[in-house]
Amino acid sequence: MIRALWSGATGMTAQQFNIDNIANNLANVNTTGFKRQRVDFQDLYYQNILVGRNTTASVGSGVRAAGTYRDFQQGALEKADDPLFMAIQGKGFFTIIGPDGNDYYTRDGSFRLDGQGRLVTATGHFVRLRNARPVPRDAQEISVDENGVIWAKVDGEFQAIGQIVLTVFPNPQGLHAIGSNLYMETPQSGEGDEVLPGQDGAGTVLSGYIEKSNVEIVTEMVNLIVAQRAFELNSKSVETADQMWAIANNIRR
Amino acid sequence: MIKGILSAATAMRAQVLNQEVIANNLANVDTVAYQKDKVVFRSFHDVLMYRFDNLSQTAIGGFSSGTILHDIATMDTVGGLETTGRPLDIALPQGTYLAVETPAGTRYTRMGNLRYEDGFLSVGGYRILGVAGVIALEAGREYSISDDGRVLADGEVVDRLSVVTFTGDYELHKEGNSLFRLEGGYANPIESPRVLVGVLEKSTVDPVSEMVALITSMRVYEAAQRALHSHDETLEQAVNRVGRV
Repeated sequence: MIRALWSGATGMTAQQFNIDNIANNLANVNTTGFKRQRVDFQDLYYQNILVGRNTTASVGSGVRAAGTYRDFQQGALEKADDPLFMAIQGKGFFTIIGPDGNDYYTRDGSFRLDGQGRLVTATGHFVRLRNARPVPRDAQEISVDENGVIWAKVDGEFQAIGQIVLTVFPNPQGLHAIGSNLYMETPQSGEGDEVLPGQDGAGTVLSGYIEKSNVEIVTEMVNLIVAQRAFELNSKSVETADQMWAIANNIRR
Repeated sequence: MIKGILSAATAMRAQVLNQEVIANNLANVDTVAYQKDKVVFRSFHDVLMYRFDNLSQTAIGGFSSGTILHDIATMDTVGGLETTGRPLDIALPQGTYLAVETPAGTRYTRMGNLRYEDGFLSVGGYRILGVAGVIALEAGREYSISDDGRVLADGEVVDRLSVVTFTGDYELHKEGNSLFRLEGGYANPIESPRVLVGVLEKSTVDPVSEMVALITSMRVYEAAQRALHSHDETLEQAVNRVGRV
């Protein structure tokens, strides 16, 4: 009975975690470049009970959330009127220089220029460019080609301002999300390779578009319903175990 | 009378175990490729009862003194299939398993959510065995599984998943973490396995039938308690009332 109580409790804890995760996915349904996460479950250890002389049967002890898995499927592309808004079609990540000087990675390409004409993210971090130089003050027009080269039109002539550098990871699922749409490299993700857009499967840069979140509301809602019902179901096994315990206590009235 | 109390007690103990197994099934209602367990009970062996009268014995008939656990069986059925579209999600046909490498030796699993982990094709944190041992993956290549179990890197065959069936006098024991241990018998790799790609097998637990089993188990427990209780009351009468005027 005690084991049934705890098995039910592990189920409730696991489903709670699942619901937390679904809520986070739903909260980020409009976050640029967001990648949804999924929770994987595994059963816990089994305890052997002796049946007869040589045979055993085993009783399980519940479930645990074994881990989360980030789904890096391409999100839908949405038209944006700014040429500095970019989306990656492919596996690469934009490389961002964080406030601590380390490199961070993102799929969110809603870039803009700061006061000195340097390319920054929405939160003001610098974007890593090859051969970067500030956009001149008198630039009339800016465009970005599919290889990620940024061109500024000065006095009727286009000048290259720099080229976007993408990073490709052996195992993007291992990246650690640190918030603000940024990811950090970890031993699990492997070391990132800096690649220019259009090379080695990094993908191409699409100017004037942003990548939407890949969260699908319908799927998440269905998952939410399933998780809530599974939570309820496990609460029933806790409740029944409790009732049975009460019956046992009442053998002698 | 004492026999009756003991029989009722065995029924209560049995239902506690039943309850534990059902609770474990319910906890794993959302675990990938979980196979549900079912408790099988049997009665104690019958004992022939005799009546003694005037130095002679007359047989009354058989008597069993309660119930006992026979086995906890794992139901080898296939759970519902969920389409995920991931190239590394697979589902296996009934009775076939993936072989994985664990520190304790080779184990088998039906989990199909394959991953890239520390340079190897893995599932649930364990390295998957191919026909030629563990399957090392290189960085930066696009991996997928074909519907006959071959592992492809950018469309080029790297290895084939070791999908096995079992023959002989074998038993599969659950070890937790969705792994099975083979005891007795042989694991035979299938030459050309049939694999569903982009699909995940869900748990085989059906919430409705488990809930029914849960309620039934609870009521059987309650009934056994009543039986025990009334035996106790009768015994009380016998002890305290018989012989009183």
